[in-house]
Amino acid sequence: MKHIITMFLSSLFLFLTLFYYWQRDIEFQKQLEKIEMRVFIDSGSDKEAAMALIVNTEGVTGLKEIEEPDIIKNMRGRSRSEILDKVELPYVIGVYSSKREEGFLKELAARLKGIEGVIGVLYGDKAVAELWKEIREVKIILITVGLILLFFFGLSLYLFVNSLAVMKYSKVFLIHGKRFGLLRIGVILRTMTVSIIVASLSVEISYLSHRYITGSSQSSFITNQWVYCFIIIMGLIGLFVASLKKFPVSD
Amino acid sequence: MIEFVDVSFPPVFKDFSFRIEKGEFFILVGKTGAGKTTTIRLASFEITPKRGEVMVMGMSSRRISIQKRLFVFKKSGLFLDKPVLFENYSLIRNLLFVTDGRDRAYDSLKIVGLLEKKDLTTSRLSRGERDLLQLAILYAKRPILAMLDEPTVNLKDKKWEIMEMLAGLHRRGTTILMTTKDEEVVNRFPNNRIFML
Repeated sequence: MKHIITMFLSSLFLFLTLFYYWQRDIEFQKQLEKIEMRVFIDSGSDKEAAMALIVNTEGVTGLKEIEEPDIIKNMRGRSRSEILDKVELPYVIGVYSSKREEGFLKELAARLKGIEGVIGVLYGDKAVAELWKEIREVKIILITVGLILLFFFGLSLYLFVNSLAVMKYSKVFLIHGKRFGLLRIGVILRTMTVSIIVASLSVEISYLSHRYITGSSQSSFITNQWVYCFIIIMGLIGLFVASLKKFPVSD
Repeated sequence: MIEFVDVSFPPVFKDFSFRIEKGEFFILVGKTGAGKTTTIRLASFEITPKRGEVMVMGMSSRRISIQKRLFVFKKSGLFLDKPVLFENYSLIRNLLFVTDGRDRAYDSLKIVGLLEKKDLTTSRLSRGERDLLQLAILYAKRPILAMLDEPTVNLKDKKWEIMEMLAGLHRRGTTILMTTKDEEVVNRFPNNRIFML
């Protein structure tokens, strides 16, 4: 029983780690989606030609012409100074890319800067670097925690297999010259079933706790796809650990 | 059926040889520590000799594998110092594991006097009863070869019934290798081949 409890706790914390990762991943994706590159084109140059070159640059999925901000329009309207009217502001183009990796954005910005008429490219490089640093740190921490929990799950599963009463029976099989096939299948099925039940219970308890804490069934819980993946993987770990067992078991 | 050729297993014995032909009733006699249990363990391929060779049913102790052991054990019956039984099963289920014949299983339990306890869980048996159950299993299995490590040691009051049962098994064609330190048993069966350790 103690092995099942250890197995359940490892599975529960493992699922919670996965759930936390899933939530953080959504947050990161949202933040990454906000990344927009602004390309400034000299007002004296051929805007259309520059835009054609920008849109054909590798990794660029879309462009959006950004109009003169309202605040500048208002200033132009209110100001009696002719200086402001004479100021030629550059054209501003919003550039969208499907890839948002730090290195790729850096390269894209450098390529765009090389286009004739482009006088500047801004995409918040420091913020992007910070964000990617945080993503990497979170990933490393969660993968390490996940692997430790997985180790404990595997270990408790191994001890559970050893504690099965049928394991002692392998010697009875041996002294009567019976093959271990049936015994092995029994051990594998039991271990897989226990792994799947423990994993399902972890998901269920996490879901109920999540509902209780958030107070709503509508709040976002990890998707079914991830849940099924988690349960199947835990079942496969059960299969793997049980298959490692050699028969007959010595004293 | 069994042959020990210059078997050495220090410190128990050195260059030990004997041969048991098919159909023999072979009694190995010796005091405590003489090597009786070691002989059974060697003959059942549980341990391998440091030197020499053990041959059982044409199988050699050299390069022993689980397949070889399964082959030998399928055709033989063992009575061990520490009984190997399904502890959570009833007595009858233990017997039905080695024989399909329900009648044979009941007969075997009747011969050893455990028929009334056929539905009892094995773990609840006394030491002597566990030995009787081992004998019943061996009898029900009808092996070609039976190897018994001091079968009468915990069953002094039933030793003649046990010996009669083994004699019956022998008459049916089972080759028997039995160890004992009981001189009474040896003297009562002078026709059996006896080997002193």
